[in-house]
Amino acid sequence: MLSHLRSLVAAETARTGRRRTIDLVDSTFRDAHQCLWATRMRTEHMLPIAKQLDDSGFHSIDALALVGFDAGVLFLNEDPFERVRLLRERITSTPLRGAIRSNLMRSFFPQPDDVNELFVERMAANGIREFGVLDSLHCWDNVAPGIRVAKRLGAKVLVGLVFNLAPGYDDDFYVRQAREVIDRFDVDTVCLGDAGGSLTVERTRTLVPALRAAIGDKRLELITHCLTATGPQVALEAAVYGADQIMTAVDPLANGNSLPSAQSIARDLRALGFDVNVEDRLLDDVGDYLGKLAADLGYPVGVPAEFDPSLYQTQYAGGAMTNLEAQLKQAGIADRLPAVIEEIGRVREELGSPVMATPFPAIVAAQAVMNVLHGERYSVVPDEVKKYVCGYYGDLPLPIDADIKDRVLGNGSRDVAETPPTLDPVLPALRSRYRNQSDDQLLLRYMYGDEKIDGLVPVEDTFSVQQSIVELVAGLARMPSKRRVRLVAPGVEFRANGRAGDHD
Amino acid sequence: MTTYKLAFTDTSLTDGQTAVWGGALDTSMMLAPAARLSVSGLAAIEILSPAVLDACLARGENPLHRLELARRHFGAVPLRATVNLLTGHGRPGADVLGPEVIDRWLATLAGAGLQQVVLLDPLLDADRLHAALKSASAAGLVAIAALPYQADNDRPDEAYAQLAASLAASGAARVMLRDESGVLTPDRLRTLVPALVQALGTTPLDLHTRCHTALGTAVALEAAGLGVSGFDTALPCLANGASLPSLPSLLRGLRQQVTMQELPDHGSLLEADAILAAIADQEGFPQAASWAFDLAAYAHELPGEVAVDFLAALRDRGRWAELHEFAAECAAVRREMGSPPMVAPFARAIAEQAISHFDGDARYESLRPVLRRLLQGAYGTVDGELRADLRRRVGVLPAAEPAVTDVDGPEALLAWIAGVETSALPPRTPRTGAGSFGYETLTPYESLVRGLVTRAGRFAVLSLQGPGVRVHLQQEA
Repeated sequence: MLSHLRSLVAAETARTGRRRTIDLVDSTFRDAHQCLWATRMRTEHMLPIAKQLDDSGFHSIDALALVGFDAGVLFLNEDPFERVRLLRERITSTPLRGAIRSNLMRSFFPQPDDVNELFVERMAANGIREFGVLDSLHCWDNVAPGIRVAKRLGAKVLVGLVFNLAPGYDDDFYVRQAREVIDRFDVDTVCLGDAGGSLTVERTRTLVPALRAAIGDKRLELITHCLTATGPQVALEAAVYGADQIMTAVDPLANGNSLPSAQSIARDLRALGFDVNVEDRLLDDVGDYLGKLAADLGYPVGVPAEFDPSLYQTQYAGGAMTNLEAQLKQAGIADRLPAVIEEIGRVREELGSPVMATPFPAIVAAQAVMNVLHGERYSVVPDEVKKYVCGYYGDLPLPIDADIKDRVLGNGSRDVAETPPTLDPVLPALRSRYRNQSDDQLLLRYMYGDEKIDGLVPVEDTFSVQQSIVELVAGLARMPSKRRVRLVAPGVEFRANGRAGDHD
Repeated sequence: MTTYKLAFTDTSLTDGQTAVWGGALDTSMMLAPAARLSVSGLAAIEILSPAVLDACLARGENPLHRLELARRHFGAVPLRATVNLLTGHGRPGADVLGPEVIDRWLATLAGAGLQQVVLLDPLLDADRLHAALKSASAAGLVAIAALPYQADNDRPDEAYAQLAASLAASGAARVMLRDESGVLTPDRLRTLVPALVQALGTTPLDLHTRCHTALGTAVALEAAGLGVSGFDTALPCLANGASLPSLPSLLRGLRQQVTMQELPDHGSLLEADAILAAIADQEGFPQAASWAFDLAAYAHELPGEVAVDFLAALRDRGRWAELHEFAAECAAVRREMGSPPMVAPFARAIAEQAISHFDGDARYESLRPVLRRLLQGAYGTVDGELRADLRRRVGVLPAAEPAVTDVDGPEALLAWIAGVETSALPPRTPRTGAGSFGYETLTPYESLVRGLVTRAGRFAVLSLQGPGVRVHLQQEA
């Protein structure tokens, strides 16, 4: 394998007279913890290593996607725009990437153009220099307004084609999509995104060259995941067969459900005869920090997976799988996971094999859970499923089984109209409602409601994995009242009783 | 879907535990899963390997006794051993298991209850193998001839096919494509296996691969579709990484692609696995883990536990980022030693030599003993070119060699093969009797108390408090 791949690279170098450089894109702050920690890495966890990542030589650093917005606001009480700003202050030379998920914002409901455009504008204003744009239906009308804004603001645009192991999604399908996004938007980079880790080595060897040939001098990126253990090999072969850049995560937040390891991919790419401009020593430092952080938080690191061919059937993405497991556990039906996974495969095919990327894994999974819980399949139809079938998210990739369509329309909520409504602008009403708020606040309040946004806590850059006790005491000192503080942890007991007369 | 009848041999108790537990599975632990394993529908269970033999002796256990006990506990399932025709200990005259020694040794193993033997001659010396295969048949053993696979200096399919055919012609009942370094790929198999199957005709082809690059299971699945009929596997808690593919995982994958007859029983396998996992838990042995795909494996080709040891050594040195440099040095040393296959006794010696260079020693300033003897021709002829200056430096083998006719009786044979004195061998039948060979399962509390009591003599007062437990031990005045 090594000698064969080396000979391919050497032949290319001899043919072109130039040694190719493969760039790495870091997604430790975006995808890695989305896959491994249910997106629970806090902004303050990122800040101590932001400068090192900036100096590591990545082509770009993926900062935030909408999943990160949701988790940041809903679970971490953090302002996602603040995350972008704080990262931008520390990451000054590497472009920060933000992801745009179709025309969706919070939840799965398509949003009107004006608010999507403002969102892109504000992401750029806070420090995003490159937009990774994704539409799982490959319905480019959905993302056209956002892309136009990004380009007007001088940001780079990458469009993700989402890999799908399903009938109709052949190499020609992806070539057509790539040509369309280049013709329509003159994008800078085309990305083959394999959210479920279901791209095989064999398919990489036909699909990557086909895309390479189709996109001329535009850049080609590959994103894959390591659920079936072949992720790193797919990434390396993609580089050999024409990809310019690979998305990675810093080990130990690589592998398992996550991305290939930056350190390992860099080493292997160099061994193949490519140049890779990342600083391995800095990556190891960042990796040490992440290992300590995981231990501190009690979160898992990425554990290399065992090869499992069944994943080529369900194609359930890493982050989605972690979320599904958590949801079933919360509902007290964790033991039904295998049945739900099996049902996901069936439902997906019945619904026309949508790409298993946000929001469709959740839509398919919601129906699968209902089918498992209620016995009679499609007797309970979640609203999102009916909307999907009715084309609320755009034209469907493949026709839906007619019988299933009837059941979805018949059993779905009457409140969901069969013809999708036109989406009226929302900004005028928002602006009059939030006269004194910044556009960032306006967007956040629109997405998550006032109560949630009022409760957001500013990030303090005091976090360190080295000084957790010091940090604990510092945190206690910042509390407005010290009455009745009692903390018990393994090996530590701490009590503080404020003097009588202190405020509560 | 094609219907296949596939044979699975469990190697958890040999290569699996050598790779994952560092060879720590003692005889009582080996017997613990016997009742479950013996009814799980396996084609064979491997009980002895060169590494197990050494580990037994180091622990004060007699490997022949281990085999006899296994014969009594593992029911009707055939027991297998892997025998390497080369030794690594370097006792003068005992580098090679020649015709007389192998004949007596195989008869001894058969007498102790063995039914199958994998004969591994790393240098594929035709005369040695022919004699060994003949002896195996004479001893009533199913003789499986190993055909080592190497990624570097890969032979063309025809060369492998020719070797396989000659092994079958020499009397091998089965031929095993043996990939101890886990460097086979599905791609490579697609031409190699059909060529081997065709060359072998009615002689079945077995596969022994590892999971160094995480592709072991994928390789085995591919092989099943191409005509390989026997697989070495391990139970999940002793599989993956430098070990073999996990049998339950392999079966899951196989069910998707083929219809199999007489499947091993999933439930019994998992019960056996649970017993071994509980032992690991009680003893603090490492958990099995998959390794991430890495191209360096195709350069260093370190097999099994050698990979475990030397990759750990690299991490310990804080030089993990230089993995490819180390791998390249392993490959260079191997090339300069005539490119022997990366199996015992060469692989560890090559890795040791490479890491001394990697650590900054002048290249070949000192020379590992096995490599010295390799250069001297003690093991036979290698395929590649030996470095001429090193050959001159080491000269030829000393003339005087002890005669093997002196090696008589099972104990003397065992001592000769292991490179120890007969007097140093543990007794074949322990005084305490076989009854003491049951593995004792302890609750965590019992383990704790036992550990404390063992150490209590060293302390005046030993006191321990934890959630729900309070132990206080005090020496009497």
